[in-house]
Amino acid sequence: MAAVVGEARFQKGLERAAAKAMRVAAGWLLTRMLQDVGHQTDVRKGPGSPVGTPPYRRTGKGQDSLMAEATTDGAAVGVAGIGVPVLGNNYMAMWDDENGRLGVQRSWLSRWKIYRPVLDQIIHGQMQAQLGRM
Amino acid sequence: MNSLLRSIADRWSENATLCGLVPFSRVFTGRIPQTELYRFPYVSILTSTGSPLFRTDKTRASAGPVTFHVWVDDDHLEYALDVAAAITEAYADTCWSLGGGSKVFDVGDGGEPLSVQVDLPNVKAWEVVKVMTFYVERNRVDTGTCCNASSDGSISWDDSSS
Repeated sequence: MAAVVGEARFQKGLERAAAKAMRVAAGWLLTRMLQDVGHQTDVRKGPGSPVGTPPYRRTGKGQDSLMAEATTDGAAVGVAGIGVPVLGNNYMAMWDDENGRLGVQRSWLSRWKIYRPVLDQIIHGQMQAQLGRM
Repeated sequence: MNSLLRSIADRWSENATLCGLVPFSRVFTGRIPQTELYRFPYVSILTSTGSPLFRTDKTRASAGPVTFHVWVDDDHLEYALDVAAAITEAYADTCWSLGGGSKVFDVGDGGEPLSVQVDLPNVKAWEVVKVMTFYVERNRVDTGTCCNASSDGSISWDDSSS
């Protein structure tokens, strides 16, 4: 019985650490995307927000979600988020098109996918930090 | 107290090996330059929010990812990997003060550097990403008046919000 309880607590701790690690990885992805927005805004002029509005980020859509928006110089708005806190293929990346329509843009999907190994390394590093050096 | 990003950059400027590979003038800590307009190689350092580890009565510790992005021409991948190896040598398993009682108390190596090829009509390059985990302990800055400890050690609770 004690072994079963211990195993359940370990499993719970593991899930909690995984959720934290994925949030950190998603946060990194947002930062990286915002960094790229600096380039995008120089070349893409959308009908969006007023000139000079700085990039910003926010949390929202549930406690496990992160969002980022970048609205400089009337350019597109980018959103990246993370949903259910489980390990696996659970990252999202979306981007407005030049006409302001929200959707998943292929180039951005491929953009985050190229960083998949980076996200995996970040998650691994965070899991190590949470659970102790393994 | 230095910011972590500033502190990492300062250590780059003080490291002859790193500066020999990529001069400090080509190390960016903010917005990276227009890839199309800027000559390679350059390095951009990205810090991001980490996760809390523990806290004491005076400090709180966290572990956060720091990524070094080494950009080189498309025929210089080996050079970028050399830079990544030098970054590991310079930062992994080190500790230093951030000033004001705060410190980096460990740096974990994230593993092999990851290579991403950029093959656009106007940009042919390699981006090599080196991931590290920085363990930072900072002084706590507690604010608010919910708990007021008096000089005799007694504690009174401000319940004005109720």
